[in-house]
Amino acid sequence: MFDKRKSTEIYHQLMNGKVINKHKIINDGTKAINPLYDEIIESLDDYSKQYIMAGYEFVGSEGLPYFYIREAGKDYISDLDRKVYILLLIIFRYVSQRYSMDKLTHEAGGLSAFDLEEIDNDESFKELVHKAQIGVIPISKGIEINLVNKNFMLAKPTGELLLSDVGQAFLEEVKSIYSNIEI
Amino acid sequence: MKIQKASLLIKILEYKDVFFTLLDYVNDNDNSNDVPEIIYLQLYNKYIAKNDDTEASQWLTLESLTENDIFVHNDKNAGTITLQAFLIETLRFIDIERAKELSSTDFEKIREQFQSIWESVNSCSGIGSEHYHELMSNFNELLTITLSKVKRNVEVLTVQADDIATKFDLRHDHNTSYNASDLYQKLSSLFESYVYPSLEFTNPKMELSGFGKLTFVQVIDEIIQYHSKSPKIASQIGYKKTAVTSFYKDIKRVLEKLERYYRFVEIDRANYLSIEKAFNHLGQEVERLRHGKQRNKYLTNDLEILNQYQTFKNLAFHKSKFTKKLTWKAPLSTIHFKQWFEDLKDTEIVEEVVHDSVLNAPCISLQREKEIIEWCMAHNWNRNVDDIHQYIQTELKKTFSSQYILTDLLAGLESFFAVVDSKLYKRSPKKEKITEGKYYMDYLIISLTVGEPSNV
Repeated sequence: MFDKRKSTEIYHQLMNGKVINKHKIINDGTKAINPLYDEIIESLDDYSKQYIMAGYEFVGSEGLPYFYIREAGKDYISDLDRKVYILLLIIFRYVSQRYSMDKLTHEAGGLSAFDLEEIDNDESFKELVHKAQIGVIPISKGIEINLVNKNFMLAKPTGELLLSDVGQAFLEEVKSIYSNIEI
Repeated sequence: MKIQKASLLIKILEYKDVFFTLLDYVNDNDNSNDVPEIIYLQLYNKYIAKNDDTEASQWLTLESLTENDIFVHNDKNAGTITLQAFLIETLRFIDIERAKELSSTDFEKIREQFQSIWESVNSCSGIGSEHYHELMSNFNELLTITLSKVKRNVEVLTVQADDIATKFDLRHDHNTSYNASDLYQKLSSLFESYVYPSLEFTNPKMELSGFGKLTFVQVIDEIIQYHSKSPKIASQIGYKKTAVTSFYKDIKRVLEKLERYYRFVEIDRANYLSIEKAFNHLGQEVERLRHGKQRNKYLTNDLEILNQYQTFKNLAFHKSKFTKKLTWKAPLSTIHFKQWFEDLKDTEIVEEVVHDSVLNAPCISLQREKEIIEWCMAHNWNRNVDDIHQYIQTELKKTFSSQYILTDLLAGLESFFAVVDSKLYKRSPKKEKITEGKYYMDYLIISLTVGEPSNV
């Protein structure tokens, strides 16, 4: 049987273009299972059917560690996708140049206010954000609106930002695409 | 002034930091033992001359050290000093971190020396001859030197491994810079140039390819075999061989330690390279958009580079399509508040983007515009000009010389069109381009033809 309160929250998040990740960050800064993800898993068929009937594709039911919805039959890049891709690539580049990528995934790590300031001040990132029409300045504001609010990054209680499950999946995809090709 | 060597060395060691700086220079510059004279003079003036130590300020001058063979040569033409080899060795001995590892070339030299001695011993007239004693004396000396070099080498490699470990630990401190690519290069060079050659040299089971080539261990075994009838000499040589080869295990331990780091660093480096490629790929797309024109200057959703990703696609703010439904006039509930709050968070406050990239043309100041108008009015115009743009550009450049920028041309053209009767100039469909530094301007050619005295 579904949980009414959770299903409302799930609806709320999915309809606002957010991703529901398997893990969330709890008050002590560690990762724990997201109760909304659990709720979907427990009544997966019902949730899947509900959104399919409303004309959406319920992505994630094939075993991904995250769920989101999109209009059925429309498998193209949206403006939000473009902004998220570009901002995540900026963050990956920034971290890979200075730290281990664990910084973005390990609970002890996370992008700090200092890191965000460094990203804000980088001229090449500024140009990229301008070309991608992220629409807000500084870049850290774009990160907050497009990545944190949409659950691509999770904020620790101390403020540092970590990649969520979908963010990590994107990182793995970038690594696998570019590990064998020459640019 | 000749100074007693022992006293001079004690004085040098008192100021060892000065000489360590020279050693660092040697280490960083192919170990030729040559150091620019100016470096020593600066160090002398900064750290030695200003002290009250009169002995030091007299003994450690460039001239005194050259006279006393600490600097074996002072090349006045090249402005370099050549340091005594033993001084370099002493300084490296004092500070293990500045010591150099033995490279494959060093080991090969040692091996060749051993093989050469063995071949001479083997072909000499026999144990007891004067030539034999001379050769064995060389052999024993070489063996002792090799033992101390190999022992030292193990210490150096251990320090290097510890240094790698310290750098690697930064990986876990997410606030300190850590560069996987640099560390990978350092590890690779340490393995290939120093650790593997050390292992091969001390490996008792190592065999070399190449006709007649013997390893260090094989040479020693041959010499021991040669002395099979003199067990005392054979066992003495055997002990020293064991002393050298016993370092094999120590080097193996260093190797195992480095290999552990290597595995992690290799993964980090692969990640780093993949992300570099992804970012550069995106950079190539951005590069194409740096054309300075007003159209097609943004990254679009149909780009292949964006469409290749499958992790998520077509994410959207779906509620925007159902706004009517969501503005229902029902009793207020927490759902209303939540939706309002979400809407608020997702509202992008579009601020005017002040993009200070190189692509934005600089603004022309009012003062400069005024100057150009005045120039235009006062200028003695040619009666026939084939290309007004080129002409104004050339004339303005003469007037403003290095201060000229492309936007001056726009102001010049504006002034020109304001003061010249439109009947006097003719537009041509031919397209031209003016490039000025990083800016350029496309235009259609306009020519000026004035039959009678111009009213310009």
